[in-house]
Amino acid sequence: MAATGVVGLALLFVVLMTAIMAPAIAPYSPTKQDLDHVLARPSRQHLLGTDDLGRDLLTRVMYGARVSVTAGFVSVGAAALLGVPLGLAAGYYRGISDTIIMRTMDGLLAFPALVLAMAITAALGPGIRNVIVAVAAVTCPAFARLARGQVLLLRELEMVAAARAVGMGDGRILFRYMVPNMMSVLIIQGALSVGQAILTEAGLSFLGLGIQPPTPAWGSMIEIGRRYLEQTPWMSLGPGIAILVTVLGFNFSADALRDALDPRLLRTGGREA
Amino acid sequence: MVQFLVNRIWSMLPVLLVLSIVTFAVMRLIPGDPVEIMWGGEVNREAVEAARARLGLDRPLPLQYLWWLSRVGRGDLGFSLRTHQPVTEAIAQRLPVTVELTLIAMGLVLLVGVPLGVLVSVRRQTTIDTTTSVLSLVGLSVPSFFLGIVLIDLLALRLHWLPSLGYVSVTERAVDNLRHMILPAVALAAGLAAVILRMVRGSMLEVLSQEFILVARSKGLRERQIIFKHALRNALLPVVTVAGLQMGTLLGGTVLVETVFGLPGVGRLLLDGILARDYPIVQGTVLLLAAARVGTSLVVDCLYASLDARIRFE
Repeated sequence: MAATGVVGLALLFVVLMTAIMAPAIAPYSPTKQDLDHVLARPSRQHLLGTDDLGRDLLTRVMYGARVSVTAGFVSVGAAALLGVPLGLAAGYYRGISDTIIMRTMDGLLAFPALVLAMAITAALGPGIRNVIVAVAAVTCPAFARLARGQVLLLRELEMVAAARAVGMGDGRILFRYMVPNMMSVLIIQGALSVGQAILTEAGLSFLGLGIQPPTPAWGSMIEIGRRYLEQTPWMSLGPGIAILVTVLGFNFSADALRDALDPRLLRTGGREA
Repeated sequence: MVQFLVNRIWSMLPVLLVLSIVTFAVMRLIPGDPVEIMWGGEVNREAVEAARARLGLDRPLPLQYLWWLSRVGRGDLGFSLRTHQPVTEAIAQRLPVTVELTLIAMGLVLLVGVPLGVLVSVRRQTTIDTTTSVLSLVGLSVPSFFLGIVLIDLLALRLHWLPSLGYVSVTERAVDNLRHMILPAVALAAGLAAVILRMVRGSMLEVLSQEFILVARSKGLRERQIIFKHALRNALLPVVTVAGLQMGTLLGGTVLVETVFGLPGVGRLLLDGILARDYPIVQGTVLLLAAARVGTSLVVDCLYASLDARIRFE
């Protein structure tokens, strides 16, 4: 594996461990206010300083990892669980189901991802659950297109013809022969999508449409930092670097995986942020 | 070419249909009654009912949708619930800011992405290739709003080279306008420049390994001529498509960047509309941003078809 892949996995390991261990390793409670130390500079007591309510920023960045990673994985998981079967059905059965499914996916892809996610959170209201729904909705078409493209390639293979010849049902052909053969591209798409999902969630939270205070989310922490940029310019740095490191971890890993497999494989799907 | 265009527009109709249904449906899910939002709080019941009837809100949803669609078709996007300004007028006021921001950002993307992509494809597997590829992944991973804040902090607040916030119209003071636009455009462009750079590199490597390049080399053409005249021209074709499709990313990104830099554009209008539950504004801006994206992809397809005859006859 390339050096960047190792770095990527190492970054992800650190972020995941921080997310899991946050209650054990964070120096304070994420909601504990210390009104004597509001907007404090980084010091030995508060390594990243404190926010406008005197909450320890390092603690909140650590807890923010839980929120971002959860939102990223759950939304991409949901998008894959919905998108892959849709793409399988469209590619395998073709005909009218293909037209309806793929035209709907194209319709969703026509929206800039953040704009659609904003519209959905506007309709459903803010909060982590609705953010996950919104991000899953904008991520789903990429999985559907990828799975459809893969089915179109795989259905021409002899093993599929053989399976059909011995009278195997559609379900078994799809899940026994096709899905395992597209797993590697799905995993790469998954890694890229989690990174994008974290960026979209952070964007929504930055705009005030995502995860709401007092829950620590990196996006909303950057927004608070922006308000105090002239007094305490370091406030946005912690959460900003945390997002950068996490998304970079996913991108590095996906890149290395793609190089290890076939560089052409991902051309059939994908969506920009 | 005409046939190609007709086919392309025909195939876009279902996309536009889905797009309009989604926009309409999402806005109808917004909590709160539009009439009550419009009048704010205490109003008498009969007046509300009368207003609902006037706005067509008492009809079944499919009828409301058709009615809305026919109005949109005539360019009528309704009125803002807060300011009572026509939505088209509100958008028209903000549009120049967003268009200018997007165009400058796209210019930066191409100005940085294409030459650097060519450079690293020629210097493959050297230090500059590795460094650029790592930097481009960093560019892809940094949120535009965070980059914007860092740029404001460094270049505006510390070094005082450029203004941090606000907007000056290009017709008022052109130089000042540009000074206000540089930082937002850089923040918006960074991610996409990375995408284009990687795309140009990949595409160039593919073209450079083809036989006609070998022929060109064996004819004794100069390297510069081979790279720019033979390779780049072919390598840029897929890049044109991707750059066009990525306009959607830029348009989506304008919401964040306009918020960070206090620019009065369409993205900011959308956010304000959502926060105030001003649903005609939200509906109008979402529709415009999505339609702009579909329109760009049509233009790009035509451009591509005119550059490459194989596409036209597919």
